Amino acid sequence: MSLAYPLGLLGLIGVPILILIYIIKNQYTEKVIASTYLWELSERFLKKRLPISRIVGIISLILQILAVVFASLALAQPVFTIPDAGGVYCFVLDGTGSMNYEAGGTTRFDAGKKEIRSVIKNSMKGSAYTLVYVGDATETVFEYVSDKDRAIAMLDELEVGYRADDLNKAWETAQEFFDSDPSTKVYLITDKRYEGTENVTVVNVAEERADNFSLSDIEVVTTPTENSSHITVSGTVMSYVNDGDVEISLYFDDETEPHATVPLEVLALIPSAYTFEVDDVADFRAVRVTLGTEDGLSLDDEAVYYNVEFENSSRTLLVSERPFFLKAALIAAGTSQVTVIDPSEYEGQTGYDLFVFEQFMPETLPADGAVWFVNPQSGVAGSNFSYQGSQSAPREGLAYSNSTNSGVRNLLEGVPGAAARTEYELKQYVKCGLGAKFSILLTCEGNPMLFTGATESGAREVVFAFDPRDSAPFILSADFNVLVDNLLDYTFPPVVEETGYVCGETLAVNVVAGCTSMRIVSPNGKESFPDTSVPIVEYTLNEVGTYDIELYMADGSVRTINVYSSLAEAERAPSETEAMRVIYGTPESGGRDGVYDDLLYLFIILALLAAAEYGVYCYEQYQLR
Amino acid sequence: MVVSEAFLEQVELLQTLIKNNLAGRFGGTHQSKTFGSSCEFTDYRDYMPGDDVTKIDWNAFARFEKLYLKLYLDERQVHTRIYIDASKSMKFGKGRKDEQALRLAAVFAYLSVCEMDKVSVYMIRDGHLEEVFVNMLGRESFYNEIGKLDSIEFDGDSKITEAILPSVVGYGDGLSIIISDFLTDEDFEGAIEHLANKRRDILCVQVLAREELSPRTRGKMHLIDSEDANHIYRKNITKDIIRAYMAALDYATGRIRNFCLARGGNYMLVSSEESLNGIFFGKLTEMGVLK
Repeated sequence: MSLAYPLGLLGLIGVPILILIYIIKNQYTEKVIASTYLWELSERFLKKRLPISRIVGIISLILQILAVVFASLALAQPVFTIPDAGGVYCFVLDGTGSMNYEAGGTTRFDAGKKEIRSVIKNSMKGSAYTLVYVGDATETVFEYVSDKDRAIAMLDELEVGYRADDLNKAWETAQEFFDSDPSTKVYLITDKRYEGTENVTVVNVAEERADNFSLSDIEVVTTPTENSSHITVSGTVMSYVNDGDVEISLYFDDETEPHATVPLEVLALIPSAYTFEVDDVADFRAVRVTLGTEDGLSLDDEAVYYNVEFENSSRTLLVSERPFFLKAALIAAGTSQVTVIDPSEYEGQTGYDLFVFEQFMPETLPADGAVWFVNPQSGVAGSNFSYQGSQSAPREGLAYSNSTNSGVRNLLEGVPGAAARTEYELKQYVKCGLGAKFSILLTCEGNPMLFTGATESGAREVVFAFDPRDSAPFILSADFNVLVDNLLDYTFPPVVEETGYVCGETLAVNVVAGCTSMRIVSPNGKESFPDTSVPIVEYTLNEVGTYDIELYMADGSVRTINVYSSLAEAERAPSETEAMRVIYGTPESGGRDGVYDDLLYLFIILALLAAAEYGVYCYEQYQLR
Repeated sequence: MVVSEAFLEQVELLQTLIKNNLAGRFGGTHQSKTFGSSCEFTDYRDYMPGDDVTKIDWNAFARFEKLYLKLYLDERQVHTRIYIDASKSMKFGKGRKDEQALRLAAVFAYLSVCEMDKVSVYMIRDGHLEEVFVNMLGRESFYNEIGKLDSIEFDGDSKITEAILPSVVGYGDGLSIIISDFLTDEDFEGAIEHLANKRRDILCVQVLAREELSPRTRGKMHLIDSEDANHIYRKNITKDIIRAYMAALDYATGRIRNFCLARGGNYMLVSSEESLNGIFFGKLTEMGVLK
């Protein structure tokens, strides 16, 4: 026997103190009475008592000592050690997407946790528990923990993941634990089936009584018509358990009532296709398809497609007296929302993603959005460049930058002339003095003629230091179109390249110009605030559903982008059969020393009983007075 | 000692019942079983030579031509002797046993003088009998003498038999009252036996304090006898001891009672805090000592 907290025995100091108090305090009290006759006579009427009853005289002291002793022992917590009675357990808990499958109000994951809890509770105290969790990531949640309550508490904190992940990494970890202690009992809690296992106890929590229908990712094809578009939405439905009839509903954007519905007969394990044909769709942000049937795994009962073009759309204000060339170039580059105003109408408008000033300089820079200056005729505070007058361009004076800077190379990527170093004829250019670091794409006589950078407020800035109308050969060349395209991408790069992902994939979010901070809200409401000091934010999608990506811009506006993360195909099947799960090695018997410490409660009860008995004794004595 | 006059006036209504045939002097109020010269007619009997001729009922002779003698009840004056235990043990207890004893003695004495009886009060101390007042007769004497009770010092030991046996107790002439706590292993039974043999009516009044009737002492105690410091009862007073004490109390009181009753006497246990009203109009009348 050992003591968990030997310092608890310090309470035994109370025993000699009690005895001392008893000796000091419990002296005989002298009292003169009328006559001792009756008292002496009472001796004849005293019942004969057993010798042990002599202790009755000090019953008060005995009870107090017992209470102190039992309380001290309870504090010290005596522990009996039973050799090799405790086990070493290693649990591998599958927390992938399919473990969300729910039957009878309980998910497979909860059932798995319940099984582990049961094993821990029924094991001998002193056992050691290790939990390897395969969820959003494979991690060892706890390692050789002997405290049952602590282990269960950490187990309870675990939440099921949504990703598709194989158990190989976790299995390697379990093998390592087994190698370090061959008495380790390995438990695998999963919904997968295995053809064979060795040295492992597989607890299969698959429950297949509930139906399980699954919607595949949807495909959306947009065909432009004269004034709108024709949309074709198609996909497949799979039933993994039983045959059944389902009703597929189609929604656009935030519609609460189905835009269209399609009844579908689904045969088990055979994909059934559906198609929606929708005419006269002007524009849409999202297409959502749902199953009208509740089943065991709800994660794959909905499929959402977010229109990537809609998500990345931007508005452009072109301030020009003769906008023909530039407007054509912008529209050709895919900028659909271009507003053109005369310079005289410019009053510091806001709310645009790009301001293009052609041969016109505003008194102040716009408060929001990127800025393009075309043929600037003066400087403007905060633009980081100065106007130094118009210069006659020498014949064939235009030259592309040969800088190896990656930014420059990206902007010149795909420009035919850049590779061939073709020179174009210009009449005039504007000589600019650069006050900050700019990426120079084109020069004329060594002077920067097309360069990109940022304003003092951080907005992206592109300067075309020439008059497009005097540079027809260049403007009409393929080079210019590609350059505008690249510059538009540079000016407001798409926030996301695509909007459809599979859970577990990494989302890349471009930190666009003017974005000061970002908030990503997961389908379960989990918030993340990524660092926006990097050009691209990478974020792993660990949940199934729609993610909200909110970009907080410098002008106070908020730009919200949605992407949809769907359940991996492998996790949609209720019980996938895998090959072998083997822990290699020869298991050994024994384990850790078991611990029996339930004496704690016994001693607490005994201490309370002794204290209670003492109380009753005192009360009785009081009552007899 | 405080006895209210109002209570004494009430007590006057009571009368002592004497069991034994009285041999006291003439002039009292107690009727003797012998025929005497009182005014109360009781019977006739044939005349015998030598009888007092003044007692012959001449009317009966005229009618029956035979001499009959008229018989009258004899009324005697008795002598009430009150013995007060003046030992030190009587000074204890809430309400004080000694005060209760003196109150009882005073009332008994008053009751006797009201019945035209003689009253003597003695105190017993250390085996001696000391007179407080003797042969007191009449209320005036009572009021003159009763103050002497207050001068009794309760001190020393009590040896009742040793004190009473050598004393003059009279023969068949009244009531002997012993007021004591009887908390002694000394022989008191000899005194009662002696009084009974002297055809005295006996009343033993045992006065005990509440603490003695229901002790509240607990724990480790050295109980020292007030009359003899060498008598020490050293014990841890527990529930069992208290039970044994109560059994001893029952035994002790029962022994006195039985002894008294066996000898035609009466026994009364009173608490030092008990009211005189309850004692005289309750217990004593119920016992038939008074009516």
